[in-house]
Amino acid sequence: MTDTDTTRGRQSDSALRDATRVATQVIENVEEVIVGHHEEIEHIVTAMLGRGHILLEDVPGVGKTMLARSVAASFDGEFKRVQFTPDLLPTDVTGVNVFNQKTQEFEFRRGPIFGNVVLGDEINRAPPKTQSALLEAMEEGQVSVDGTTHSVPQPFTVIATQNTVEQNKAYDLPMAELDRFMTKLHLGYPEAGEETAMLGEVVGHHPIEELKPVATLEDLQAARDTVADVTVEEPIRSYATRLARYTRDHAELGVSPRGSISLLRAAQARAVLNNRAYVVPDDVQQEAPVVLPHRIRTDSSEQTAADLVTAALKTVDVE
Amino acid sequence: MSVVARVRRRVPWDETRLLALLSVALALGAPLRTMYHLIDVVGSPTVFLVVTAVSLAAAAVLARVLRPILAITVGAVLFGAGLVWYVTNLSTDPALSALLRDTVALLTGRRLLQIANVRLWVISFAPAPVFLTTYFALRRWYVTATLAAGTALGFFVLTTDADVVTTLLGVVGAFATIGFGTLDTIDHPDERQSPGAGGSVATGASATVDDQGVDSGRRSVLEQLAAVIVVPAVLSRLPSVSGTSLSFVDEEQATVEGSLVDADESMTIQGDISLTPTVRYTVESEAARYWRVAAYDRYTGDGWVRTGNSSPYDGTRLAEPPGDSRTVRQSFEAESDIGTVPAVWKPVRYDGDVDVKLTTHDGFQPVGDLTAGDSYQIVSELSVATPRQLREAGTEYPDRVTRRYLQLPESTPGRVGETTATLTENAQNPYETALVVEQWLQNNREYSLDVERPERNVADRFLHAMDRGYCVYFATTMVTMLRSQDIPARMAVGYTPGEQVDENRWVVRGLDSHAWVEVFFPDHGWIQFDPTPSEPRAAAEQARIEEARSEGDGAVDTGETGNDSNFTETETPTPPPLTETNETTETSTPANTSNETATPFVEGSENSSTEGPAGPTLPDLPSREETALGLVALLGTAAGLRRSGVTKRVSRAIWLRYQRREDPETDVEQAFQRAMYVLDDEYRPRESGETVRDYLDDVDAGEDVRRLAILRERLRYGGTVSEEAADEAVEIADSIVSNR
Repeated sequence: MTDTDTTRGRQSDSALRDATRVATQVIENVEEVIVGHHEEIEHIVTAMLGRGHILLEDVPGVGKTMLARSVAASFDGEFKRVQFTPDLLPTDVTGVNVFNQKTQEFEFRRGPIFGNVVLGDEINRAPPKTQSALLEAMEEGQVSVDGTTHSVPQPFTVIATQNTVEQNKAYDLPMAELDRFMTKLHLGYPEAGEETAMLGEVVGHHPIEELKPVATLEDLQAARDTVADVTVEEPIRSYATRLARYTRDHAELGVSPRGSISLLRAAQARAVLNNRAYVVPDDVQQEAPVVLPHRIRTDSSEQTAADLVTAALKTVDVE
Repeated sequence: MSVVARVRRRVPWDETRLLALLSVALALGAPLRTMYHLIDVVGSPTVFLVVTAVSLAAAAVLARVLRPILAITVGAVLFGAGLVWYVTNLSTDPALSALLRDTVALLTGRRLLQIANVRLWVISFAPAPVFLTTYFALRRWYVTATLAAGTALGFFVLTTDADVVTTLLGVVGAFATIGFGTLDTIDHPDERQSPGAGGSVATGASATVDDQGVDSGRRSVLEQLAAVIVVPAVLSRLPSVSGTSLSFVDEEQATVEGSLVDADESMTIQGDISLTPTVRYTVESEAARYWRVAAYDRYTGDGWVRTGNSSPYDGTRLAEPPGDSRTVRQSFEAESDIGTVPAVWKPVRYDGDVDVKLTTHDGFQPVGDLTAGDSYQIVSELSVATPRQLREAGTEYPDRVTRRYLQLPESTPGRVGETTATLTENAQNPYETALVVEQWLQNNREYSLDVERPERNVADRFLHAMDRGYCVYFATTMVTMLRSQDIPARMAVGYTPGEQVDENRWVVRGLDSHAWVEVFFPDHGWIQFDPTPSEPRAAAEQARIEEARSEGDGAVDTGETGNDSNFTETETPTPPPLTETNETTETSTPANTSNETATPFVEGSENSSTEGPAGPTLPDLPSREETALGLVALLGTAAGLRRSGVTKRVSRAIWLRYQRREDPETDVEQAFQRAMYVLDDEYRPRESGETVRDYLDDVDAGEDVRRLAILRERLRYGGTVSEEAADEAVEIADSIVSNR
């Protein structure tokens, strides 16, 4: 169904149009580099617009890092990257107080967390203490070092990746911490045609080297404000509630209220992406498969969390 | 969870149980109501009410502790004890065979009211069914409960004591009990099972399903009840079964003769009535008197019953009336087939072609029917007591008379006695009282065959509310008034002398049938009084004869009647007064045959006075019971329609086609729903998890529907709506509906 309607929301038409344009431009820009994965790119952008963080999970070598770097490179903000290793210390992420011989004072040397887009590579290889340093920044927008808190720059988005191989050498993120990512995406292998095309593009000069920012941080911030103003009427809110309750009724651990909030924020961003100032059930249905599953622990090994979400979307009455 | 469900959890008896118990109450109420009516006719119902209440309470208490088999035993013991108590309390000591014969007679249509001690009978009979029904209803053995109540009601149906409406109420109650009872037992698997076995854990969803099942079950019970009420009523309209089924409407207009003379051992007071012109007897008699057929002693409020059994008559001479009397011989010849043998009061000997029995009030009753040409001779002893003798007769009534002939239904309003007492204030003795009452009725009530039958207490209504009636009303009222003054009286029926065709010869027609009063005087026996105004009655009868003649009805005349040459002057003589109202005429006695007050009938001139009231009459309002039954029928029909989906389809069709405009929001939403209904119909329903957009894509819906969906989406999720959008939406919906 085409989205040709331009309905007046609570905001001006131009703000909505600008936000939609920013999102579209970022997506197109990333697609310069990444072949295929259109939906995943959309999800990443909606998560960014919805003030969320993204977790990419898959086997190595399918382009998780490349995708994250492409998104980051599309903005003119500060891009930082942390490679998580088993011996990585929390201070390696947050920064550390060092003694300045000249001034005879301690001064705070910022860690890589202080960026607008932070790429946390292979997050599950670091010990929990280091992971939680990153997670505190994601949740609170600040880090604490030696009792002093330092705010991270805004806008602030973490794109983390984790490997699903070598599980015995990994520290799996606990559910409580997974919950802080708005979306969790699986990339999967590209299709045959796409892979061939990709190979042709990257054997020579990798296109990411030439990727230019297409949006400023101000654009991103404005788009986020627009998204936050998208109308979510009662029928939508109650639909989200019903979905969450369904998962709680049918799984050992269901979607938390934080999950429902994330779902609606993602749906708001999706509405903006579709140039609409209000959320429709379709937005919710599109975002639910990436927003909800990592918050659910099913009580049977046969049904995965993703299956449960699919079942919920099929069963729960969308009025 | 609905409020109902929440209440249901809190109240130990859910609605189904309540409905079932109410139905039981209805089923048990029908026989109880009949019993109450029986009791009411003969005396105070207090003892009966107490006995019933005690049985009810006992059953309620014992239902929790007593085992069913013991309860049945208790019921049987109650029944047996009642029987023994009844038999031992009878004043007479009847043989077992007589009791058995009585029971069989009851079961084949003899009214219970004819039993002399009906009060005793009812009180001894009541506890068993009340106890058993209540006990089993509370134990949730609804079928057994229905059986107990139904047996009791069935008995009264066989004795014809239960009227149509009561019976129907009872039957509806029984059906409802079984219907709702089944639902109730399904609802509560079984109390007799061990706890927990039936108490399955019901989730919210399955509870809702259960509720729906119960609801639809209730509806189907209602439908069946409606069928129970409606089907017989409809069937009785069909010609082939007319008269065999229940009917709320009188089948046809009754005749005076049919209601009086043909009535066997009981008679019901009718409403509108007509006259039969057919010739019944030719009488040769030494005196023109009322030809008496029978008498009734027990007044039920809406009719009369003759208690006791008739005895065989062996041709011997019967007892003469006490006091002075003279002999009157009569010879009757039947002119058409008929089942009565009238005679002048008081008959002492019968001799005829057909064997007769002797009824309890010294009337003869043929064993079979008389056929045309049959004849019989009667010897009667006519009391010749003078008014002075009657005045001085006193009030030393024998017990057997007071026991039987002072009875009045307990429900008779006190004002009957008060009014009578006021009217007869100056009367010094029973004779004068009777005269005053007779005179008052003759003077103050008009004669008419068009009567709106009162629901109950005919006498009270006739005395206080009605202004016209025919002989039955006059006689019934007079008996009631006299009894209220402790004067023994009874109702007699028979024929007036009829048309005199020769000096000692009379032709009696069906329309000569009549009802009058017999009053008991010590030492003189039963003396006849007639409170009906004679002139209008005779006029009505004559008019009917003329009418029948003009219609060419051959049965109106014999060879002797219908020509003017014979006795035109004394044709249809007004019956001689049974008592003298002229106090000064010492010689004229009630038994006197003198014609001094006989008024020659003035032909034709008084026809108009016999016409019934010409004014508009209101249709009869249905009684409470009929209203209740009608309501059940209506509800059941509604439930049936609902179940068959007719109402839903009709309202759906209207809803689909005619959208009433309200506010824009409602309009858009309703327009959208209409369009969705059409799509649902044409393609498939939208599934639960399917968004509107997905659905429209899937069914490949047209642009207009999509436009409508967008309008609705904006309203619903965007919160924006306008009059224009509403107009557009309705317009789209209209076109979709009309184009489908």
